[in-house]
Amino acid sequence: MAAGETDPKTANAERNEQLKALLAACTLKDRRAFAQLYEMTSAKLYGVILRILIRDTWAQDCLQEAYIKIWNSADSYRPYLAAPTTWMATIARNQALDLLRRRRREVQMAEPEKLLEASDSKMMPLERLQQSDEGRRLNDCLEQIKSQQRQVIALAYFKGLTHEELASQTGTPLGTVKTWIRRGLEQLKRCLEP
Amino acid sequence: MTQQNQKSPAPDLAGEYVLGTLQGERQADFEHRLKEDTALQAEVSAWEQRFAPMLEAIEPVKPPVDVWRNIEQRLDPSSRSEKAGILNSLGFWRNLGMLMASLVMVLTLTLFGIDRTDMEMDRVLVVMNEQSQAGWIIGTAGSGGQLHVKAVAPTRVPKDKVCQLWMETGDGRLVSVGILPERGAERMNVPVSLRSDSRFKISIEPVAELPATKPSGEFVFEGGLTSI
Repeated sequence: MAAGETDPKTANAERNEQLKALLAACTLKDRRAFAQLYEMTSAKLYGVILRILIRDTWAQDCLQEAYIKIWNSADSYRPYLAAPTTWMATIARNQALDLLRRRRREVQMAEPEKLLEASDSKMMPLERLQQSDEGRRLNDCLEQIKSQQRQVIALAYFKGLTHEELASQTGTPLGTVKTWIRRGLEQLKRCLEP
Repeated sequence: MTQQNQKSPAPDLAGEYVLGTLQGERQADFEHRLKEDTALQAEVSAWEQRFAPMLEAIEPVKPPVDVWRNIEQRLDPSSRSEKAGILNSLGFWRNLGMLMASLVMVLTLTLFGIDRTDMEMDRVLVVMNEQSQAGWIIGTAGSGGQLHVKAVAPTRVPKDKVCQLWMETGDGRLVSVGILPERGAERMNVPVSLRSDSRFKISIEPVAELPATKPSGEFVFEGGLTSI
C-alpha cells in the first residue's frame, strides 16, 4: 500500500493499539494520557449516552461519571476480551442505563402514566449498522428475528427496560416477552457464530 | 397463545445480563458468580462484542468543553483523599518502632510519588501474566532513567520464587533490572540507556539466588515499549 494511503482496517488497528497504550498509562495515573484518551473517544461515548438518555444535561453528567469510572478502573481492562472502544462504550452504556433506571423509578412514583410515553423510533440505528462488516452481520441476523422480538430486544438494550416494563410498554403478556427475549438471543447467537 | 405453547429455550444468563433484562436478585447472583468465573466473564464479553456494532453505529457527538473541565477538577480532590486514606489506613503505624516507621515513611512516599497525578508517561508496556492478562504495567517518563511499574495481576509463582525483569542491550546482552513487585507500584532504575526499541524479558527465579547475567530458565514474557 502506498504511503499516506492507509486502509481503514489498518488505521483502526493502529488506533486500537494507541488506545490500549493510553489505558495502560492511565493505570499509572498519567493524566496527559487520560486527556488524550478523552480527546480520542469522548464524542463516541457522548453519542452513545445521548442515544440512551436523550436529555443533554443528564448525558453530560453521565459522561463525566463514565470517564471517572474509566480512570479509576483502567487496570481492569482486559485487552484479550474486548477492543478498548467496546470496553469504554460498554461502561458508558451501563452508566447511562443506571441513571435512566433510577430516573424512571422516580418518575414512576410521581407520574406513572408518563412511563408509557412512546419509545424513541430512532433508538435502533439499523441504517448505520451497514457501515462495518460486524455491523452488516448483526443487521442481517437481526432482520431474521421477528420484528416484535427485535423491538423488545432494542428496547431492553437502549432503554434498560425490565421484563415487566417491556410487557406493559408493548402490551404483551409477561411470559411472551420472556420467551421472545430468550428465543431472540438464542437466534442471534446462532446466527452470529463464526 | 401459540407462542406460549412452543418450547421456550433455557435463558442465556450472560446474554440477558448484557441486554439488561437480568435484574434484582438474579442480577446480583449473576454478578457474584461473574467475579470469579473466567468462563462466564468470557461469555459476557462475547455478548458485549455481539451487540457492540449497535453502539459503534451511533453517530459521535462532540460534548461541551465543560464536561472535561469538570472531570479534571474531580480528579484532583479524589487523588488527594486517596492518599490521606492510605496514610490513615496504615493502622500499624503506632506498633512500629521509630526506625521502622521512618523506613515505612520513605517507602510510602516513594509509592505516593508514583501516584503523583501529574505523571506523564511517554512509553508503556503491558506485561502479560500466565493467563495472558495484564500482569504489570510498565511506563517510562521523561529521560527514561526509571521505570514506573505497577502490579495489576502478577504472574503467580511459588513462595520462594520471584519474577525477574531483564533488559536487552543494543548488542544483545542481557542485564537484570530487578524483581517485579507482587503488589502496588514501584520505581526501578534502568541499568543501561533506554532505547525506543529496547526489549524487556521476564523469567521466574529463586529469590535466594538471583542470576546476574542470564536467567536460569526460560523467559515467560517478552515485549517492547509502545510510545503514546
